[in-house]
Parts: sequence; C-alpha cells; structure tokens
Amino acid sequence: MNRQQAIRAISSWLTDELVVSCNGLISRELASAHDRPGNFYMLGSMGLASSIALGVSKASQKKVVAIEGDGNLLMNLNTLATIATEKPGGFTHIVLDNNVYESTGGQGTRSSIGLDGMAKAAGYMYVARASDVGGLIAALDGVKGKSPAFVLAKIDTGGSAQPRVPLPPQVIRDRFSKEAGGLHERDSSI
Amino acid sequence: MADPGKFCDKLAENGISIATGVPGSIIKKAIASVQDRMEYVACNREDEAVAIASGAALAGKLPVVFLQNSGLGYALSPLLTLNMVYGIPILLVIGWRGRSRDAPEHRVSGKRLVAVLEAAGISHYTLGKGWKAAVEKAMAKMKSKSAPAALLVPWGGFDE
Ligand SMILES: Cc1ncc(C[n+]2csc(CCOP(=O)(O)OP(=O)(O)O)c2C)c(N)n1
Repeated sequence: MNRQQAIRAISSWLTDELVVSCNGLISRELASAHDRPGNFYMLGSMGLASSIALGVSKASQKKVVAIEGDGNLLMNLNTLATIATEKPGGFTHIVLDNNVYESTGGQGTRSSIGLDGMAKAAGYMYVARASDVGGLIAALDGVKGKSPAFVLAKIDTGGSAQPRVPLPPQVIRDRFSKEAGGLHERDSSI
Repeated sequence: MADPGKFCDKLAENGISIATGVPGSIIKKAIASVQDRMEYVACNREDEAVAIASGAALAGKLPVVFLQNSGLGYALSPLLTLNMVYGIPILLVIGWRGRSRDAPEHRVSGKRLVAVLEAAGISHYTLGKGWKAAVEKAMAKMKSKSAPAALLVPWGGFDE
C-alpha cells in the first residue's frame, strides 16, 4: 500500500467528518484524491495536525479525523498524552507511516519504535495497525465510535507525487469553518 | 493592576470562550480563574497550545492562550506558519518575566520579548493601570486583522 492507495481507502471510509491533514505530500494527495470543504489542508505548522483537530473537536459537533505522517507525529509526540487524557468524542487519529520524511527527500525518521504502541501506552481507546488496503479499511471500520481512536497505516514510499494544494489559505479556512459550523460566529464577531 | 478574576470576566465579556496554555508564575492565578469561567485545555508545550486554540477558532470560538515569554519560541512556529498564513485570530496572554530584574534565565528573553513580537508582526499591548483598555485594544486588533494579538503581563500586571 502506498500513500495514494491509503488516502483513497480513507476517503472512501469518510462520511461527513471534519479532516485535518498534515503538511507535505499527505495534504497534496488528499486534495487531489478527495477534495471537500471539510478538509483543512495544513501547509505549515508541521506536527500539529492532531492538536488542531483536537481544538476543532472542542468547538464543533462533528466527528474529527487527523491524518498525518510519522515524521509529523514524532515532532509533536506529546499530543498523544493530551488527546488520550482529554478523551474527545468522535476523534480518529490516522498516521501514514513510511518511516521517512518523504516530502523532503526520504530521510529516515525514528518511527521504528512503533507509534501504535505509543498510542496504546498513552491510553487511546482503540488502536489498530494495517499494512494493506483491505487491512486499513477493516481497521477504520473497527473504530465504531470508540474514541480517541488511533490507526497506524504502514505504507511504502513512492507512488504518486501530486501538485501543491491549489487553494489559497483563506479559502481553505473559510470553507472549512463553514463546514465546522463556525464561520458565522467568527465573522459576526469580527 | 488587574484582578485575575475580573480580567477573565473581561475576556468572557469580549467573546472568549475557550482557553489553552502552559503555566508560568505571573499567569498562574489567571489560569486558575479562567477555569471557573470556561474550558481550559492544559498543554505540554506552547506550540500545542496555539494549535488547539487555532482549531477551536476555525470551528467558531474565540480562544485565549496563556504562556510565559520563555515559551514564545515554541509558539512562534504555528503563529508564523498557521495563524498568520490562514488568518486565524487568537489572543495570547504572555507572562513577561525578565522585563526588569528577574532570575537569570529570564533576562535575555525578557529583554528581547517586544523585539521578537515586532519582528514577527504580532500586535502587543502591556497590562498596566488601564488594563481594561489594553484588553479591548488587543481583542479589537485580533478581530480586525484576523490574526494573533498579545497581552503582555509583567510582574504586578495581575494582583498578587
Ligand atoms: C517545523 C518544520 N520543520 C521542517 C519542515 C520541512 N518538512 C516539510 S514536510 C516534512 C516531512 C514530513 O514527514 P512525514 O510527516 O513523515 O510525511 P511524509 O513526507 O513522509 O509524507 C518536513 C521535514 C517543515 N515544513 N516544518
């Protein structure tokens, strides 16, 4: 399973969740495979997808999904402690683990420690690992309302390389906020 | 001199409805007071606090982040590459250690605090006698620019 296949599998599983995806190739792939207003494509702030998603879950009624790479999670590993103890409802944390920083040239990361073991130790209510498309869909189907949930998708490097997310940041923000039910309140306060 | 409880009331009156942060000695009473008025998400590091606040802002809340100037470096990455790229408003309340005589670890970051904020393009106001006006100015700036704005609190800014 490569990144594109994993993102397509996740896209087919999504219903009306709000999604926060990390910077680099993962957001690019999601934007080209399954663009929708409820996707917040991070362009910078590496490592913070799950933290932004936790904040979204504090203010929106919808379910929230964070999708990030192993390098991203390792940059903000303490997020596992915060999410596991905050216990947000309807929260799924998906990590696409290729053991490298592929977006910047494939330099190795430290993900061989087993990021699913870290999530389990932190206290996530559901932890699953998958290494092929069928396994990933089964892992996602297994979430069934358990929260916070953590799904580790072991992926191969390579596959497609999509262009940059073709949307200005303010457009990404405004259509996401509208989906989250937040734009009106924020605009009226401005 | 602001009473920490009245300060938090003022934030709530201005629409702030969620708080995040990392503690510090100047802001500790304000963090205790804010928890009686709204949800407070205790964070491990200041970048995480900014990101959680920003997610809540994207979904329609006006957030406040409590931090001490020692943590501004951690916060700058998301401030510069998330908030100021997308235009996501958050209020920062920064305990300003080292503005005048203070422990050695605060002297450099305290002396440079304003210069760092100005280099980053973050509007800032210092809590002093007219603290209510400072809160209102910071909130107005954050809303009109749809960007982060900072309230700096030196020793004595909050009642002890
Ligand atoms: C704070 C910060 N440091 C470094 C970078 C450069 N950078 C952009 S994407 C990336 C790699 C992301 O790796 P990973 O999360 O494993 O995802 P992958 O690229 O493998 O899909 C890096 C290091 C950055 N954008 N921000």
